[in-house]
This record gives sequence, structure tokens and C-alpha cells, in this order.
Amino acid sequence: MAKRKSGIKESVVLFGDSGRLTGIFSHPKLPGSASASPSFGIVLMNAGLLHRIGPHRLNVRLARHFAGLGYPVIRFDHSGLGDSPAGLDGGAVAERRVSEVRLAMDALAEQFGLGQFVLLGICSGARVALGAALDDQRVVGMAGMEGFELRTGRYRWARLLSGEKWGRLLRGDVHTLRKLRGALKRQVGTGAASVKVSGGPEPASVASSKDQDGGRDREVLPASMAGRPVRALLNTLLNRQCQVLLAYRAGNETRFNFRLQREGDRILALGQPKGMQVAFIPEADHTFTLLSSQARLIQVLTDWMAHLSSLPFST
Amino acid sequence: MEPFFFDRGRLFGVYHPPEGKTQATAVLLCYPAGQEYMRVHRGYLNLATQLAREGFPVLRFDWFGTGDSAGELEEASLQRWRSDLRAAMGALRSRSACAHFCLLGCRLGGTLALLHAGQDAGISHLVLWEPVLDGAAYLDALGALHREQAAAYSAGPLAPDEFVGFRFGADFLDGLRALGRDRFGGLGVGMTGEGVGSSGGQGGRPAVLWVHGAGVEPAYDLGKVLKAEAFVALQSDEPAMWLKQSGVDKSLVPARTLRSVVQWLKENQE
Repeated sequence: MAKRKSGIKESVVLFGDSGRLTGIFSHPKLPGSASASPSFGIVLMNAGLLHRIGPHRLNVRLARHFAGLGYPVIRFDHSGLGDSPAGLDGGAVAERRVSEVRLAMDALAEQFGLGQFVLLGICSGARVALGAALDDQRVVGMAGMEGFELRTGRYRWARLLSGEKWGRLLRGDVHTLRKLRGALKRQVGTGAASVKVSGGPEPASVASSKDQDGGRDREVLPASMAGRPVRALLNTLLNRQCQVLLAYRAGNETRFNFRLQREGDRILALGQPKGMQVAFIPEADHTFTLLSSQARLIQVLTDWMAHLSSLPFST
Repeated sequence: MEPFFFDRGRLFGVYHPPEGKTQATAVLLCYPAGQEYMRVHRGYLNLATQLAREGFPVLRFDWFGTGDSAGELEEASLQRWRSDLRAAMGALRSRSACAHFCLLGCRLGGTLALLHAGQDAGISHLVLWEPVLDGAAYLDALGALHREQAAAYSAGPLAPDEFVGFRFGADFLDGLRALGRDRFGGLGVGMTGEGVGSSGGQGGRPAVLWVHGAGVEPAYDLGKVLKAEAFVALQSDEPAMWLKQSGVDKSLVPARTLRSVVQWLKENQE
């Protein structure tokens, strides 16, 4: 057990099969503004290959911030990432990650007597959060940061006209050439399909590719998500009153540029239905490197959490 | 692996118990700072696992203000981190029951290992992987990287104490700017100039393995300043694990170099 400022405590938790998953609980020493009985616990997932502390230690800041407000939080490493050893069962990575989020929620439930949870995920963590939220009715809120691309027509034109991308291609950048080769293979149907979550006017075209563990962060969707447009997946959550927050950088990048898509294509094709908020963070890149952008993101999340805490969740 | 908090809960570490017959030397892994810490994490885990498999007790820990340890980086300083290293040595001593210790550090972790070694007679081995020897140059390079990356998404002025997602406090910045080669004297380590696998230290003075990439000269001059007696240089032909990697494979683990480090330590046990 470790005491922290603002009256919070942290402790190591080993959970899952034979305690194989490593996590850290952050929780209030005394009741905070979330009330003596917090409405929910919070789960923070790995972002890409980074271990549980998150990009630029953002997960640690988020965990301690929300614990200081009265919410029990767990940040943990999926199997094969950080301090959690690789999974033993050889099953699909995506399915395993969703089940590990469920185990993290179970750990919070057992320790703090909680029955509802909010999931926070950045980049690939957002996609895991979505899969886990779809999988478990205990999830009452999901915040995905820089997690979902909506490939509308305007988005595709912007990418095609990207000077930076053509520059890399002309310089013979290996990574860009490989991606181009992969894209061409997909067009002629000779290679593994893309695993990006697609949405927008045209139907999703997601198929699963081979799972890979360890050093590669190959994005594979759980079976519940594969082949379905992201707007349909988010609607499933909204229809059961699970609150959704999507946060993006507010820059000029062609990728993950939600505003670009919104302005051109009447957004998200969801029209920001009830229960969903979309936020754009100024001066942010994909991992919220600038500390000012982290502070802004934390404020957005704090306001959203306060809103969630005011809702009459059914148990 | 055994994750735990120590030093009154201020610091977080992971202890790797040895497998099979326990070696005489326990190993303390010292992380670098900032983004370099993020990038080497996987490699350090790989190294710790290999060492434990060879019978070495290993502890890797997060400096105050980093990782899962308490505080924020801006509250830290080089002095505070030197104190953290002493605390980590205490934790490793109590868990390993070894009489000899190897400090292994990359970049700023190597710097702190070097500074500590002269004060601790129990340090029998040092593995220094391109330690930071010029703090001002280190900060200049970090600052340039930060400005280059931020230019893609930020038009406003940048805070001078912020470096690619991390903020150093004034004490830390002052300590880094004052860091120069004149700080590293008096270790009394051996120098042979041979390749990997040659002799270790003598009479309790640490043997040094200096790991470096192509184009980066080993600090042989530092060996002279240190009055070194056993100094081995290992050039790694793999990308440095603390640098940003591009391409599809982002495993960030220089496997061959890590195996060579483990081999050197195995072969230099008395």
C-alpha cells in the first residue's frame, strides 16, 4: 500500500488466472466528492504497446486525479504488455483483451464492492474499451480518445492529397511502402484484410487478420465488432444508456480528424445522439504530448464523469 | 515477478527472483528518464527475465516522479534520484541476500549508476549503456526534438521546461546542466580495452561493460579519469531501444545486445 497526495492510496493487484495480470489500484483514502459510495469504478487500458502508465504517464495522472475525486481506479497491463506475461491459451488477442477488462472490473468489484464501471481507453485502448463495453452490461460509460476513424469520402480525399504521405512515399519510406503494398493487396483480395474500424456511408469492410502477440500491436477486433460499422456499435451502447465520450485532437491531421469528417459529412453519421459527447482538444497530437493538452483532456473527462455521477444508473 | 512499493510507499519496483542456482551478484536496473523510459521498458523487462533465468536476482524500479512511483517528475531532482537508488539498493539487498551487486543503466539511468558506484563498495559490476555525460547537450537534444515534434500540431509558444510530454523541475534542470565529465572521478575501475568476455574487476572494484551504438565512442577517456583497471566496450549493431522506431515492427528490443550483456555478466562472476 502506498499513500499519495490528496488522500489517495495505491496498491498492487495481481488478478486473473493465477494472478497473471498486473495492475495498480488507486483509490480514495477518505470519501471524496463522488460520495461515500462511488457510483462506479474506472478502468484504464493499455494504449498501443505502452505499459499501464499510459502515454507520457497520462494513465497515472488520470488514475490519481479520479481517485482524488472519490472513484476507485485500476490501471493494468493486458497479457503480453508491460508487466503481465503473455497469455497461455493461444486464443485471439482481441477476445482475450476484452475478457481481461472484464477481469479488471471483477477485481474492482471484489475490492471495492462496485457493480458499475467506466472504461477509459486511448488509441487501441479505446477500441478495446468499446469491445469490453459491448461485452459487459456493467459498463455504464466509455470514453475513447483518439480511437476511431470514420472513413468518409472527405476523409479519404484528404488522405489522398496528403503532401506528407506522398513525401514519405517518394523518399522510399519502408513503412509507407509496406502500407501501400498492403492496401493494393486488399484491393485485389490477395492479402490479409484491413482491421481498421470503418464507418460512414458505405458498409464496414472489416475482416479479421491473423492475431499476433508480443511486439506487434496488430489490431484485431473481437468477434462482436468485426464486420459492423462503428456507428452501429456505438448506437448499441447508447441504446442501453451507456454514456459515450469521444475525444480527438483538434489539429489538421487527415487521420483521426473527426471535425473534418463532421464538417463535410454531417458527422459521425450519428448526429451526436443523446448520451454521446464529442470533444476536440486543442494543441493535441495523437497521444496528447503537450501537458496543456493533457490538462484540457483531464478537464473534459472530469466534467463528463461528474455528469455520469449525476445520472440515475439502474443496477 | 513480484511488483511492490517500497521506501515508505514512495517508489515502485518489480523484483525478479532468480531461477535455479542463485548467482553471487544481484542486478539493479536503472531506467532512463522521460520518453526514453517509455521506450526501454519492454527491453528492460526482457533483460530482467533473461538475467533471472540465469540465476541473477533482479530489481527494476521507477524513479520518484516516474512510472508508478509517487510524485511528478517536476518534483524530482538528480539528488532525489540518487537517494532513490540507495533505497532501491536497500530493497534489493533485503530480497536477494547477495554480497555483490551490478548496476545496469541506460542513458540517465547509467549516469546515476555511475555516480552511485563510487560510493558503494558492494558494486562489483557496472553496465553503462550510453550514459548521459553532458547534461546540457542532453537537454538541448531533448528540447530540439520536442520543438520539432510540437511544430506539427502546436502554433503557440512552448514551455522551456517541457520535453516531449514530460516536465523537469528547476532543480532537475540545474542538476542536468551542471553534469559534465568532471563529475565522474574516483571509481577506480579496471580497463583492458578488450572485447566482450574478457576479465572482470579486481579486488572489489567494479568491472565495467560500456555498451554503445555505432558512431558513439566508448568513454575510454572516462576510463582514464576513473583510473580504470577493467573496462570492456560492447558495440551494438541494433537500433538503440530508447530511440523512436519506425516501421511495422515496433518491438524495440535489441535482442542480441541484451544476450551479450547477460553473457558478459555470467562470464565475469568470480
